[in-house]
Amino acid sequence: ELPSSLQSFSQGLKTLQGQFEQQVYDTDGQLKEQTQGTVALAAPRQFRWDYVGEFPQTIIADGDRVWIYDPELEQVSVRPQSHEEQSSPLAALIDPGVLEQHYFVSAVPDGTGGEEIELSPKQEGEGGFSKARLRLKEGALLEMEFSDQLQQRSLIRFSGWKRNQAFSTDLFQFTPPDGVDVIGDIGEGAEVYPIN
Amino acid sequence: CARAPIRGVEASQAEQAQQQRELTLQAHDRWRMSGRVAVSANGEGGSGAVLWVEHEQGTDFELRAPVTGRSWRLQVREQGALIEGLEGGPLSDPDPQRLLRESVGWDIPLSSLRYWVRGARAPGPAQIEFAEDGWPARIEQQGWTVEFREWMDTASGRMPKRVFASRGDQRVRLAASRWQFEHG
Repeated sequence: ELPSSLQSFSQGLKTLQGQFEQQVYDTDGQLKEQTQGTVALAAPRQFRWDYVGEFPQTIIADGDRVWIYDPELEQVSVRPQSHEEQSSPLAALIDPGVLEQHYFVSAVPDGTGGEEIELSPKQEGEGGFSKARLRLKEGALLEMEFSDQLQQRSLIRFSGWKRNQAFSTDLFQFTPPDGVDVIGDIGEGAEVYPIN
Repeated sequence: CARAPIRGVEASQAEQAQQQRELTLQAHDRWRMSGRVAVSANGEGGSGAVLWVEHEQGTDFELRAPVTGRSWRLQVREQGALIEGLEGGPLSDPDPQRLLRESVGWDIPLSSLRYWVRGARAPGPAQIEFAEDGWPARIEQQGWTVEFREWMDTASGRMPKRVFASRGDQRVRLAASRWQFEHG
């Protein structure tokens, strides 16, 4: 049974769009990196992160594949989305069914009327993170935090959420621009998207 | 914008300046670079945020993939290399390049890249071409072509900002956001 805050968050959720700020801390708590951008989600399995700033980057899950485009490096990498599903807590959020399948979910009141949700992957080492923590309040996701296998902590704060707005259909489509390298991921049978 | 190589007198002046620069870089061999890296070979590879640190004990090369935060760290020391953060736990090997290739599938000429990424030739025979501004445009070495697409000014002088190295269908591309040198 999903915690109440998570239920109200994903209840009737078709699309979601907002801004985020991401901070990464190393093992002794030093701020290593700060990035920000916009994030969009569409049930059941589409999401898009646009990192802005010095090295912009776009990550798009179109439902079949996850595309990572690095304009500065003129490279696109593509992987089957199932691989990505377990490793990104947000990807699992928009499809609560996946959540319970892949994660142990426990909730604790956060003392300010919101709820803190702890997600730990059912299969150790399956996801990119050892555990993730979400903070929700009044049906809105405020924060997501996860630590990776080097125990570096990523904290993502969300703001300006807009629910069930209409999206243009190509928001979650990606076609590699001319002249960039398109590569699969090591070990994945990712067929490279035919450039037609 | 292909940077047209210079010839003749300017080239020899540029070569002088480059040799001087390479000596200075050799003297300051403790540095830290953060940015992004993309690696590919025969259609496979990956990219992510990179932190590259050269210090007394050796080299730490850390890679963090976007969104998932999946990361690993390669530590190169005199006695050999260790890679941590992978499913299945740390792995080690006396040969850092072999360890990286066999553990994450990245085949990178690390010891030479250490020079190239700073805009310098690695030891051994090399060809170099300079752009009109006298700064390296391209280095050919060990079968690799290293192109300096962009430079940036840092507290310790001008450093490469975007470096694209390729050999056959192998590619290593680095975009530096910060350079720091340890003085002392």
